[in-house]
Amino acid sequence: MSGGNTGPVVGARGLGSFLLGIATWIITLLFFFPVFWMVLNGFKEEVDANTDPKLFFDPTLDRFSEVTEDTTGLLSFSEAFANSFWSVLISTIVVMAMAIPAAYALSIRPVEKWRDVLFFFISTKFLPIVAAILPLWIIARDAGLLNTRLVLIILYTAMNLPLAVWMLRSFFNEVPKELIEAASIDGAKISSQIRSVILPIVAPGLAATALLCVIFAWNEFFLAVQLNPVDGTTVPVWVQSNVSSRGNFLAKLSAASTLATLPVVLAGWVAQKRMIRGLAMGAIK
Amino acid sequence: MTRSDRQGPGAWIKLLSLLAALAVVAAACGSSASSDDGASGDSSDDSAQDDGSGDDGSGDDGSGDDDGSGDDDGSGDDGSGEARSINVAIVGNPQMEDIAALTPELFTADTGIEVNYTFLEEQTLREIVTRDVAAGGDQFDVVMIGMFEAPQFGAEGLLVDLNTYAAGDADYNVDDIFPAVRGGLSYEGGLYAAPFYAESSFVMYREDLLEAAGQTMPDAPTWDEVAAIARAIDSDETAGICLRGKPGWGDLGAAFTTVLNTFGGTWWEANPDGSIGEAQVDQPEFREALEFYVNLVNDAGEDDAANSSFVECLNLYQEGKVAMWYDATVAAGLLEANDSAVKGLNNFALAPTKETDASGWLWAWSLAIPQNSPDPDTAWEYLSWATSAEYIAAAGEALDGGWAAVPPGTRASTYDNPNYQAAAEAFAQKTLDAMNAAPIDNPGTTPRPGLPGVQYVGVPEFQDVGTRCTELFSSVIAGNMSIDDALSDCQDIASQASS
Repeated sequence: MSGGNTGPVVGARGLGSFLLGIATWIITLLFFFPVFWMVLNGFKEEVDANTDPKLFFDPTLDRFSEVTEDTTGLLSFSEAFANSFWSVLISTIVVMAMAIPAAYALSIRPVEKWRDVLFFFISTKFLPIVAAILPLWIIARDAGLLNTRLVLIILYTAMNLPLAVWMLRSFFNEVPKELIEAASIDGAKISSQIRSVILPIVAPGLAATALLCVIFAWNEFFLAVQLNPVDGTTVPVWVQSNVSSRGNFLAKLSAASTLATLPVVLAGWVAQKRMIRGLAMGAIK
Repeated sequence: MTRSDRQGPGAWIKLLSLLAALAVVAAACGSSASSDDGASGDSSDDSAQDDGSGDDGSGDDGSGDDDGSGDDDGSGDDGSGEARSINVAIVGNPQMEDIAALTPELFTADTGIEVNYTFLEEQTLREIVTRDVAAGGDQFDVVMIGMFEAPQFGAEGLLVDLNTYAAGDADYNVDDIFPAVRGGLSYEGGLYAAPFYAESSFVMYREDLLEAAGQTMPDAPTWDEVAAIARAIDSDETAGICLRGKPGWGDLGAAFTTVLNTFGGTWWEANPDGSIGEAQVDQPEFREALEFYVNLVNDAGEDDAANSSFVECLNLYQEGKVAMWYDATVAAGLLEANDSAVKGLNNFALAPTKETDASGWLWAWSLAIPQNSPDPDTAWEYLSWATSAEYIAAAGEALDGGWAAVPPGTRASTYDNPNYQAAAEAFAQKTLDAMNAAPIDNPGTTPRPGLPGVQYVGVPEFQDVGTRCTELFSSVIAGNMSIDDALSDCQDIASQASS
């Protein structure tokens, strides 16, 4: 972008941004196409979904009613949805409740060795989760937590906490120190400083962070299938239960995936404005 | 800053209202799913999950939180009227979906035992079940395992010997189960899993296309005959034969190993004590089998063979894009189903041979009870129903797909049943022949290490070796690697397992 100022010819700049625009569109479409195809396949008959790609077909809602059908003893979409909803909601609330004070202590009034603390937080994400699954499973077994929703809530909280602390810290850094000083001169205690001064300013950042936590927890499959594949499990595990090894399942799976994606898309859509502002905040100031 | 203050409340209200709306939906869903589980109430205090059994909060089932307290260990005695329930891990196949749908009506109604099914994709199921059974997680009361796992787990003492139950249960009629299948699930006289569904492999072919090309398929063809027919009928529109090319010990590995066996090759020679001996991938028989397989696929096989397995070939066959297909016998039921585009056009022949008398594989998805199961009696009650002739008969009447859709390949009585014979006329006898011919105890020309197996070697190492080597072989099929390189790399991989 800075190159625009030095560009001698306006036409070249126009062409450059035109080409950039085209490239952006191509990349966007490449990203979007699989999603579009998934949604489209969800409205097809199995036969149409599995044969040569067809753009035009008789759309049907049968796959959606098939995957949402309730069978006693089988994980239904509504159960999985409720399980996911509560795991995600509770873990995100806990994450935010712990990450806000942590970010405060790492940014506004940094504790001693705050760099080491920050590094420690992110270092917990260095180990691939697959390397930790066996110990996790054994701990969960010994604690009687296998097949419970609680184990997922705990792990989703642990999984998102470092990320939330890091993100929130960068947002907290943007809060002008003068404002906080002014507030404390006026006699505001820490709690009311956070509530009345800091939180309103970092609201977009909070929304962005919470949304990311929601998305990560909502889409989490590995821990859910390993530690709680039985009842009480979440939407991604339900999506996988639509895979069949002896028969066609692409249309059914697409319908299931579409349903699984919807809540996140909706939440993202509502929070979009906040989130983009939130993400851009650190870059602009 | 001031802008963000101004916009703040509006967007927050939107977000909150969305959350609230989702909460209402979730609560409604939760309660509609299990009538009274009160998802909102008990889960917001993040207690352990309720069991979803429609029972009240106090009657926790044995699903997860019973390890420590063992409060429901007495659930075996149903005199108290306490609801019993079991967790069953099962692989996602059409027949398994059917039994899940029929369980409430045909099983729970009679016994009062609630069955919670967990459907998993094959590889995930393997991982989770293996760990649960081996490390005593008590996540499941009944697990579905394959013929590869059953005798290995049995030998390790991880599974309940079902003979102890079956012997005292005349109704179960264990002798009705095909001897080859029973043998494959046994170890030293103990039966460690009961087959729910079993299959062999054979050649499916379009009789009309072969006839039009002036070709005839023998009932028991050799690979040379099949290859000649495939090359003769191969055209731009219709490939001669569909063969698996997708990496994986259960994909390309299964189809290729049956070819390898009948070509006189083997993955390893067996030591006198039955352990894994020298790797045999560098032997001429192995090379001959691989060259034959790769050349046949490349000359007369389907497009994109390196990515094709059962489902891909099924689709190509139903679209009329291949004239022959060598795969699981269970496919015949799908090709002859009422909604199949090729219904009535098919015929079937035994798995092709070369040096041996028979070469079809043998596989059974089977139910087993982990050794540490808290309530094996209840588990047996379920297992003995799910794998019984009684279930097959009831399913034949109750399923939309009728008798043709019942789990095949497990019991002789299925094939004696006139209803099944009528519904599965096109393929019942051929399937039965294939099941009976499958050379489970002596698949090749030389002794194999480990436990019996046709399309796999009955040693734990085979999963890894088979998968890594078939990745190489799949690259050869795709034209990205030479046979020489693949064989020499695979020999190295297989040698690491030798003792």
